[in-house]
Amino acid sequence: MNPAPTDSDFELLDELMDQIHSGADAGEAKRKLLARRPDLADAIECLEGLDQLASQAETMPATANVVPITELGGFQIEAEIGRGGMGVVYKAWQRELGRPVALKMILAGELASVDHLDRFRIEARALANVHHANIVSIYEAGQIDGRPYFAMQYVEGPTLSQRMKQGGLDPEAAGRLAAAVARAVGHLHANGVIHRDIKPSNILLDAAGNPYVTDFGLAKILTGDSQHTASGAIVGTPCYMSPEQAAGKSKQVGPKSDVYSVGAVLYECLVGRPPFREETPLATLVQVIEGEPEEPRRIDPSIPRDLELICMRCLEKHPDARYAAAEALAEDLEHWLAGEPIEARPATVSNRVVRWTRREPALVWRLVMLIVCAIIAQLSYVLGNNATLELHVQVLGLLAVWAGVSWLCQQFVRDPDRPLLARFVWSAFDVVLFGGLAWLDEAFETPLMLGFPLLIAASGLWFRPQLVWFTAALSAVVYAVLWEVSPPSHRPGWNLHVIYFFGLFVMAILITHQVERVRALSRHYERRRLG
Amino acid sequence: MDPTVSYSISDLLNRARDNSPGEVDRLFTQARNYLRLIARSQIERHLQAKIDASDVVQQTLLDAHRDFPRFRGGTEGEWLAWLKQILSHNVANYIRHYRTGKRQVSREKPIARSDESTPGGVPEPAGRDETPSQAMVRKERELILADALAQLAPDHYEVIFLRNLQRMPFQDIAEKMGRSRPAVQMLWMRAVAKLQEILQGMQSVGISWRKDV
Repeated sequence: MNPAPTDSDFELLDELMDQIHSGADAGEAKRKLLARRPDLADAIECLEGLDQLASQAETMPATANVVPITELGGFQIEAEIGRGGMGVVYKAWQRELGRPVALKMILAGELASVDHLDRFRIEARALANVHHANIVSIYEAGQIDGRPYFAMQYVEGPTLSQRMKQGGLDPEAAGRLAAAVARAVGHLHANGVIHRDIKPSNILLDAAGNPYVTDFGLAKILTGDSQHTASGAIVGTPCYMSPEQAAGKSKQVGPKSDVYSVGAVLYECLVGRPPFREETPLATLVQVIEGEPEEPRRIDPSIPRDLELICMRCLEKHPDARYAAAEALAEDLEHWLAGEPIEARPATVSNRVVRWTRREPALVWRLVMLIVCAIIAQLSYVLGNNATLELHVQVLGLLAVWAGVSWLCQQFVRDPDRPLLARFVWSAFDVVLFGGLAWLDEAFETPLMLGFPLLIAASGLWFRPQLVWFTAALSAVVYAVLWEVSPPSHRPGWNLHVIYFFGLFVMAILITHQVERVRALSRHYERRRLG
Repeated sequence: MDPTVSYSISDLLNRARDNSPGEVDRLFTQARNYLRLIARSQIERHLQAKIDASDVVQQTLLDAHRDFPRFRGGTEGEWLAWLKQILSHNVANYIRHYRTGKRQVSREKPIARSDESTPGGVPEPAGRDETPSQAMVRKERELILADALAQLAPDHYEVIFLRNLQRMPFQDIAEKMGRSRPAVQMLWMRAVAKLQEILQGMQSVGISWRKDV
């Protein structure tokens, strides 16, 4: 047994590799090397073995005739319904009993990990005790040739997500569907099962439009209709996930997480899109955790107010603020369907403020900042005696203009056609208005100059490097203008200003760097699973 | 490494024929790392992307498992050639789906029926030109080597995969892995040393991959 080669042997082995790869006869080179360094015999053999492996991989027949058999145990396989990394679902015909089934199979024995096998069994057992008109029922479970399988009730489909692509549901149909799903989920909960993956592609509809909750999802099975899997980019969507699931707080995930997901499905039935869907999955995840969904009636005023209240109660961030159980949600929806008063109450004032903050964080925080500035200005005017009334009014007026501009920009940002342009405009107004305030207040070379770096940092929250550079550049320009128009300083010299410019530049580098990191993570998350 | 793992495929084939599902699983276990290596190598030759080949491998094993009763070969060479054929079919499918940008176009996808060009539906085992014993010697080595590779740390696996399996120059590997060329060369050297250690470790528990033993 020879010692492993060391770093210093690199040249020798690399040369041999080149010989082998060049296709020329490497035998001679090998013999020479062996004669010089018998201790490398093992390494050389290793490299030769690898090259044989490489030539194995090279040949790829253009077409290989593989004929899948269409019989499995007592089942006649008719078509493949869904597939995932761990299992496959077939539409099959059970000959013995003459009925169609959905046959879910796991990959055999070792092919699936112990964890997958356990999950498969847990799923089968959980379903075994559940009998509900709106849950796909399990017929039997067993093994075919050592491969575990279970046969389920076959529902023709389409899935709810396919159904919604053909057009939205009217509010009453949406309410009825959500009520049935909530009842089914409540039944699951009563049997100790938390679904954790309620979404439109996991809800099958029969010919009469009755929903059936199904779960190909636990096994991460992709049914070709999910929008995010169509591009082959990502498995699993955070669109219908509760905030506690999105944040990975698995201890908090419980029945109320399913209530959230049913609410998210209802939301999509009403307005045609899930509560949150951003450009990237990471952005969606952030919104699920921090953001506030647009109120359905703002999108479509014809949606009944009570139904909106029910929906929004499901989508509360904190589990305790949602319905206590899926059954309670079902009851409230049934009250609404029967025209009776509902349990969900309109949000309180404080609740509304919290929601507004979550929905429009950029506007709300600017307003908070402006109000604080106004209070400080007022205090300094009352307590100090160095400011004229005229100046004070001008300062307060400018703050008010700033608030108004912010509100206008917020409306502009919501315009889905050009949100990016709106953000540039907003950032530009921020910098210019702040510059105007500093000029009015003769605040050049005072601590107020902290405002520019703060604006640069804030611009990073849009996650656009160009926006950060734009804000930084404009800040530098406005600072230069202030320098020009301000009265001569008691501290002559240009060096401190150069340091300030440099500081702005470094600030922009740091913020864009962080933005780039987050974007890299986001891309990674998107491409995590390709297959 | 489990010392009881046997690499004698023809024994396993015979026992698997006697309807012993456990043996069939062991047959598949042994080919898994090998197939993954071949699958990734074939895919990356056609697509300039880093792909997780495990789905293709699983699909292959699933198909092979289903069709196993129809496999008529008795030697390692025929067995691996058969697996490779199914794999290539799945790789071709994967690449086609990947290029057209869709993995599955509809919820229901009919399963391909019997191809008339192969009577009885059994693919012809390749590798007829080799005698069974030659095939055994050569093929088993590669299974063991693939298993040994699978035990390497990910960056070691990567550098050997790119340099030895894809035969890529170090300069390209350096760009692909985002490291300097000297760093990649050193990484490769360490990976080869590590691989040799793993093979020696396997040998000490009775799994020999060398021709002369």
